[in-house]
Amino acid sequence: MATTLEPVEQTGLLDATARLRRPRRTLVARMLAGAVTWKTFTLGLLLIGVFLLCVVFAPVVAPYDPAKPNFKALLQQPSGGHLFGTDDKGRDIFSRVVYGTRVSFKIAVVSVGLATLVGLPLGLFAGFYGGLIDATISRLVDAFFAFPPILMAIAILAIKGPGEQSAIIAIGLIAIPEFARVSRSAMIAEKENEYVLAARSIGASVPRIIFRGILPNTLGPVVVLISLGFAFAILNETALSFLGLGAQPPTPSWGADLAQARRYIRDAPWLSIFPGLAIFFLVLSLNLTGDGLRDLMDPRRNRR
Amino acid sequence: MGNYLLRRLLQGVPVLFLITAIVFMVVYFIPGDAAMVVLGQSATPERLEAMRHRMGLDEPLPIRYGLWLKQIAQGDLGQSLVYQLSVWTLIGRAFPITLYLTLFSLLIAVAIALPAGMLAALKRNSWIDLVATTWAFLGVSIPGFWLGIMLLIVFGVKLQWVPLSGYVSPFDDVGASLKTMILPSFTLGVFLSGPLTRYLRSSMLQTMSQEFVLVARAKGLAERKVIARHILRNSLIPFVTVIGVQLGYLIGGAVVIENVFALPGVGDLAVSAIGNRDYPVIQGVVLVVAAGFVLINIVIDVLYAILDPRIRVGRGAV
Repeated sequence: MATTLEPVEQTGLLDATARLRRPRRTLVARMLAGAVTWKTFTLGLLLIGVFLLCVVFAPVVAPYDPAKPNFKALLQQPSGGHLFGTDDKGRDIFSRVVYGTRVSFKIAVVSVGLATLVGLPLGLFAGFYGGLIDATISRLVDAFFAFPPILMAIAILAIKGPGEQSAIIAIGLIAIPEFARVSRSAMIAEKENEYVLAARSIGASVPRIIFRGILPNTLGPVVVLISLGFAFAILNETALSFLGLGAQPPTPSWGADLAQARRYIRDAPWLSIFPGLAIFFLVLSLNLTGDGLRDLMDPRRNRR
Repeated sequence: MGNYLLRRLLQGVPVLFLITAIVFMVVYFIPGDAAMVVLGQSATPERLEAMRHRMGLDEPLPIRYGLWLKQIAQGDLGQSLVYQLSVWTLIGRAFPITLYLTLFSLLIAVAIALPAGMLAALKRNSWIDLVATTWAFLGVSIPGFWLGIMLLIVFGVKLQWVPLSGYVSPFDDVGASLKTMILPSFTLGVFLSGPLTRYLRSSMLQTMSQEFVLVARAKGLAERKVIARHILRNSLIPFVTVIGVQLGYLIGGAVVIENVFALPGVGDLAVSAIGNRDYPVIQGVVLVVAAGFVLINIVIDVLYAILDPRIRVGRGAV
């Protein structure tokens, strides 16, 4: 190259100086950020593990029958005998909280499963084909997004009548648009890759390309979505139960128990504390895990 | 600009149309006989048949949908089956309360998120950042109805600063009204402040790494001006859109929070309408809220276009 100074393009210079100005994060800082991510992720998983133990071993963990009234021990304060106290029918709150994990997990798992099974293929096909199919699915998703989630769930529960099964369907349905939207954009980003073209050129069928080729490559955002979807499902499930539209008494359910406890906030405020704490910790642990996963899977994001 | 406005409004039409279809289908599949709700369990089969005919319930589905569309196009949402009132009257009574709750909590959420998100971005990785991001994280993990009950126990039962339930209109007594609304609005606002803080923080961080910020600094602008004129202004545009998206969650949250604080708003109306099988009311509430949500988002998109000319031209907005 000649030694004459080329006129430096303005943007190029700025780019270079910008890079100089922005200090590179040191190795230690990056490791620290990684450790924080790992920590929140592990903490989240550990907490979820505790809840799962309650789901599986509820009869072992719970000291009392959660549904059996004891009229000799009504509205007792937390004590050694009753760790979280007793409710207006003398039932042990701790046992009810432990058994309450079962209903919440059941509803959340099945509804998120439903949302995944319907929303994921919808979004993948919309993103893969584009054009009219994409436009139709996208408008439909837009329309569903226009309904505030809880209100939509209430409308669905109006059809089915309150209950566990209806709550599962309602919570699953309101989660479908989000699943479709995320998988659609993941597909759009992924389908331009050469391996897709290669698969097409050797004559692979479209479902094969989508589910065997592309889906495994878009699993990152999908897994994150599923774990955050669980948090969302638990919040919605407990809210619906709180409104009396989810699991019905005497089934131990955090939301329904809180609705009962709401009547005793003057005389027995402790009734309201523990079922809510359980919801809070479960949702927190799901959010921690989901966020941690997102950061771990995407190195570019380095802890925004 | 007029062109963009028109295009955006036209895009809303198919969505609104789909919304009416979804609402109609939902109600169509509600079990139970509307005629029986009106006449009571003891009605004779002949009277039930006559009532079904009068209500158009014996027509086939597409005709019923067409009739209903015609009716709502004329602005008529029908009559409540339980109260001798039109659905509009019931919504008209309940809606201001929900609007009051929603706007008050939006105000609280922005009052929290604006400084929190800004400081977190400007002092990245400091303790302020840690506090703000932790707050944002806890905010979205706390179930709102539980937070509401806890606040009621502390401020209503123990400290007795606020009444435990009931609603006072601000037109009757401003002070008492604020007292009844502060806890529900705070509860709802906390939830919204979480995502808003996170969005503002990351959008500011993104803006701060842009070249025009470097230029502003390079030409010697005071840091205060760089932040106010260049960073904050450009970060607020996505922030405003996020508020629009979150409004849906806010209204959904309001349904539950109204129940906790016994406020006679739209959520309360919808929940009790389910119990009564008062389906014109359910239909009306869901339709009005969803249509309102679509309109709000169109307004926000238009505002966005006024703020940022790049959107008007170029790619047809998705």
